Amino acid sequence: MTEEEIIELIKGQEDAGLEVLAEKYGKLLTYIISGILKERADDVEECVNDTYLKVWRNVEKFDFGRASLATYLKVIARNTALNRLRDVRRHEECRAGQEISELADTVEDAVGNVESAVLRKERTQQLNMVIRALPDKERELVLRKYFYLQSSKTIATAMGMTVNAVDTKLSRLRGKVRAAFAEAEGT
Amino acid sequence: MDRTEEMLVDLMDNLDVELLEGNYMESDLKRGRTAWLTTFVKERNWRKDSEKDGVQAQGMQEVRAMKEKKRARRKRIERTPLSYEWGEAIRTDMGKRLHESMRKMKRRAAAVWGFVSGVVTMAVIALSFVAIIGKKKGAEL
Repeated sequence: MTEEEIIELIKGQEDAGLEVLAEKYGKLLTYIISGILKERADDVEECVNDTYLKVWRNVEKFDFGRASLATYLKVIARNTALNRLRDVRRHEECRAGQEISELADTVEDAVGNVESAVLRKERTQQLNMVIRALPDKERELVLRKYFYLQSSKTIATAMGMTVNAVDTKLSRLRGKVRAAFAEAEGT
Repeated sequence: MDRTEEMLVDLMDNLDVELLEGNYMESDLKRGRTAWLTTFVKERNWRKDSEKDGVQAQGMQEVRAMKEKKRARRKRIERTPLSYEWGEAIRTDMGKRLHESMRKMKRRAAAVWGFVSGVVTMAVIALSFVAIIGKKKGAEL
């Protein structure tokens, strides 16, 4: 079944659409989500189901001229998993009374007090520009690391590079991003 | 993770979907499946080989053979069917033993009979002497 047919089924709110979605993209979503949530098997399953539900509810809002259904699914899966990870870490921090993890801390910083929504929006736009300007391989590298949260080792295996090469490239790319932000803030 | 990395992870929540087009994640999955399949086949073959002629399997076979040998030795008579010759041998051996014991008994009986008859003869002779002597003494008186 083609993507268009699946989309039509989901738009028509037919259960078969969900079944096909699960059959066709289930493994991919599980792969993406488990890469972020690691060994939390229950959470992975829940996130996969949440992803289907979000697609089911928001399919009308998607612009399939900009990206394919698979891409929307990947974005939703990634964000759902990351939000779950943040929730879990926040919960763990509350329970243990310890300092919040670095990642969740960043979220607090970014979403909450430190940066305003406007600044965040600007930075997202700058990041989009930087990433758009990158060659395909480098873009893949950045997205694997910071979008899908893959480890350097996984990236190295997938892209046929050494772990050191991955880390060096990423470090250089972070430099580019920092420079872009600094330039934008300076102007 | 340094601050820039954390910021990147965070900002990517709202990344343009167009930038995410590409099927490298799907390729990962395919590669993972192939790798898994290769590992599975290798593992299965290795297990098969080790079952056939691995060190452990050889050891097990040796132990099994030794046990079998012991059991066979223990139950040799029951397990080996008696041949006609063996049967005959046992039978003739038994007959021979019977004959021998009977001969022994006869010999013993003959010896006892000889002894008894000897004693009786001696007694008869002794009695005869006594009678003769008695008769002679009676005549003198």
